[in-house]
Parts: sequence; structure tokens; C-alpha cells
Amino acid sequence: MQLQTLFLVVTGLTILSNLVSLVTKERIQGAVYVVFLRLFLTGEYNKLMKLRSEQLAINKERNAISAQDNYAKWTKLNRKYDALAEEIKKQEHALSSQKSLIDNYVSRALQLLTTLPINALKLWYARKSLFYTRPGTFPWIIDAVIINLPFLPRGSVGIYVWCFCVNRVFWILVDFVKVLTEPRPLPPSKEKVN
Amino acid sequence: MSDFEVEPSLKDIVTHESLKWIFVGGKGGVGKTTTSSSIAIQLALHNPTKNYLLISTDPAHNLSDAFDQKFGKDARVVDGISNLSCMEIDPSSSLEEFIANNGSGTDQNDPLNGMMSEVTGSIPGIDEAFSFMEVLKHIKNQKNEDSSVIKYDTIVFDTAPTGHTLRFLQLPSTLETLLGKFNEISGRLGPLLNMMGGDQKTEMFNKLAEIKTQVTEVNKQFQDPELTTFICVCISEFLSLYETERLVQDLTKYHMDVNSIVVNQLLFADDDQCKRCQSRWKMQRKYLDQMDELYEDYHLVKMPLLGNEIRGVHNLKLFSRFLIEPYDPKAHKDVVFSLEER
Repeated sequence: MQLQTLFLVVTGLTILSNLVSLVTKERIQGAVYVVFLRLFLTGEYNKLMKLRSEQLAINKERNAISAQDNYAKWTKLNRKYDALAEEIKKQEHALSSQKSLIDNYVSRALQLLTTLPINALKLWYARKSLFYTRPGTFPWIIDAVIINLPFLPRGSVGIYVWCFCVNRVFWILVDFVKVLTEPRPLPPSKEKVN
Repeated sequence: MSDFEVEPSLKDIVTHESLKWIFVGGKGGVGKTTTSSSIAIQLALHNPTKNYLLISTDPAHNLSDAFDQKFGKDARVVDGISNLSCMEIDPSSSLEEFIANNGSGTDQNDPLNGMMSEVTGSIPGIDEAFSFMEVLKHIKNQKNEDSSVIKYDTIVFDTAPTGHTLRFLQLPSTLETLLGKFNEISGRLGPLLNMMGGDQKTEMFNKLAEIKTQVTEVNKQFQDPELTTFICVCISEFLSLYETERLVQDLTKYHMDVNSIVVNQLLFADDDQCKRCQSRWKMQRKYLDQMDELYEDYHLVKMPLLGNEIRGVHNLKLFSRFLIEPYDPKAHKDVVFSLEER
């Protein structure tokens, strides 16, 4: 791989993986699941919703009548309610097993997209210099101990150090945006309480 | 089911050929013991060639009081009815006996010492299971021996108030999960456990597995409607009906046959002078109507409330005939006050 493309790819992947952790994996999984529900499991999902609303309706009806005066009716509603509860449980179970399957796939896909290629590239190009700094930018001791890790030619920046820098800059920017967009605390009220 | 009328009596059960187990259960204080005694008596009277055994698994035994005759751990024939025997089993004592027999070694330093008893003692339903297994052992032993010992064709159980019997039916699955967990633990901590006394551990597993197979076998018999039936007893009041409904639902969930409900302590006070009895009867009738609607394909047996405690064979005989021949307040009015005083 050419050095320029390598540089761009590594930078892009690092930013992507940071974006994923910013959004959080759970949210992505949830979103994928919702899309999956809409596309393939609408029938199942609607059935669950229908069952739930039926159960609610029965509960309402049951609570509206007096158990002692309409014992037979009340008990019949109870039976229906229990039957529905059983069915809902089954349906939920079926759907949740789907969800865990999808979650599994999503997290594996994310890994394949971000962590795995970054680590592979880091391993493969560990001893390649991505670019050189202008001589004298940093004191030689910093060059030798930090910038040139792992034992690259003097003045050059390797993939490890570059990824580290990208990460730091990314999170500093995130914090910066967060601070800017945070709602301002209200000024203390001037009215006297007592 | 609804296109033929179900008889409001237990005639089906009394004339049934293949029934081996009859359970009588319900809330406390509704007359389970009286009902089970009556059923046993009617069975014995209707089939003089067969032998019957009535067993109480309720820790608060009252068969002795119902028959006015002392019964114990071993079956004893009822005075006056030669083909009916009774016994009272204490579930907890048979569990303790089991632990004592199979319990831990004498090594005080063994950390697994007594684990068996603690584990088995804490499984829900185990005490009931043990009493049933005891009974089964009893019956199996009889089959092998010579003909001088009585063989019982049908066994009537007077069970403890609601929950217990059902917990017993749950036991196989409970044991299964428990054994699974144990296996998992021993897989992880295997070497450690082996150091602490592996022999005892495997022994314990084997015993639990043995219990499980036994219980499963019993359960299979209990879930066969040709062999086993359950009779619910209740009184015509809201909570009792509610409990009965739950019992019926749970039994159906465990695939146990239930098709008879005995409604006890009815006043039948239509032509009575007593005002309180009349209004009370009105209330009972309200619930009875609801029951008729709910349990239309069940045998709904309506039993009268008599003037005194029903104790002794004579009184039980008087009372029990209404299980077969429905009580008619006009024709049978005299029975209410005709009980022998004890």
C-alpha cells in the first residue's frame, strides 16, 4: 500500500471506530434491530403489539366489574388474561432471541469494520514511517522516546503514534463540542426567598 | 362437551373401573377430609370385591377424628367396612428418615458433610414427593409378597391444603434444573470439589438423579386420566371459588385430570324458617349459579351442611350417599338433624 493511502485509511478507520464508540454499540444494535423489525418481522411485531393491547383491554374490563357480583364473567376474563400472558411471553421470547442474534451479528460486523483492520494495519506497518517532522520541531529526547516509537528513523512518525494522536484530537474535539452545546446553567435568581 | 348434560354426582368415579389414584384437595376448612372419607366409603360400599386405601398426607391429620378410630403410619382396616383401610403419613418425618438413612458420613472435618440433607431439604415439594414415594414403595412391596396381604385397587389421597400437591408435580423439572446447575458447578470447580470429598459428591448426584427418575415415574401415572383423577372441594364463597379456579387451572397446566368439584356446606334453606339461613342461602346460590356457568362440563356435586360434625362411620355413610344421589332438600330434610351425637 502506498504511504498516502495508508495514511488516509488509518486516519479514516480510527475516526470511524471513535465515532462508533461515541454513538455506542448498543444504539447501533438497537437501530439495526428496529430496521430489521420494520423490514422482515412486521408480522411478528404487530402480533405482539396486538396481544399486548388485547391484554390491556381485558385488564381494563376486568377491573371495571366486581369480582364477587360477576364471578363467572370475571373468572372467564381471568382465564383469557392468563392465556394471553402465556402467548405474549412466547412471542417476546421468539423476538428477543432474534434480537440477540442480530446484536451478535452487528457487533461482529463492527469489529470487522474497525478494530480488526486497524490492528492488522498497525501490526503490518509497525516499522514504516508515515511521514517526517521538520527537524528541530521537538527536542531530540521527545523524538527518541515518544515520536519515533517503535525505533523508527529519527524524526519520523509511525502508525502507532499517529493513531494515538488522532484519538486524542478526536476526543478533545468531542469534549469541545459538548461544552459548547451544553445548555447554560441558569443564573442565580435575584429575588429574595425570605 | 356441552351437548350432553354432566351428572351432578360422583357416580362416574365410583363406577370407574381403572382409576388407581383419587386426589381430594382444596382450601383449608372446606371439608376435604369429610369428602375424601365419604368418597372412600362410597367406593368401598359400591364395589365390595375391591379394596380401598384412604391416605392423609396433610400434616394436620384428622382421618382418625373423622372415623373416630385411631390410624397410624401403617394401613389399618376401618371398623365396619372391611374393604377400606386408612393411613396417615407425616411427610416431614419420612423426609427426615431418608436423610438419616442416606445422610452424611461421620467425618466432622468434611466440608460437604450434611450438604446432602441441606440440599434435599430445601427443594420445594420434596416432602410431599417423599410421602408419595413412601406410599408407592409400600404398594410395590405388597405386590411381591404372598396373597395374605391386602392389595389395594384404588387409593384415595386426602391432600394438604392446595399448594403442596401442585409443588410435588413440579418437582421433576425443579430437580432437573438443580442437577444441571450442580453439574455446571462441578465442571468448573471439579478439582477443588474432588479434593474436598469427591466420593460424596458423586454419591449425592446419583441419589438426586435416582429421586428424579422415581418422581418422574410417579408423575407419569398421575398425569394419566385413566389412572388418576382430582376432586376439588370448595364452599360457595368467593375466595374458596377463586382458589378452586386457580387449582383447576394449575392442575390442567400439569396435565392432571380434573372433572369433579364438590361444593360443600350448602344450606338449601328455601323452605326454612330461619331468616339468616335464607339470606345466607341466597348468597350461596348466587355463587352456585356462577359456578354452573363456569364449570358446565364438570361434575358439580352439591352437598348439604348438616346439623353437626360428621364423624364416625355411620354419619359418614349418611352424608356420603349424597355424593352419588344428589341431595334433595324436600326428600332428605330429615338427614340434617339425624346425625349420631359423638
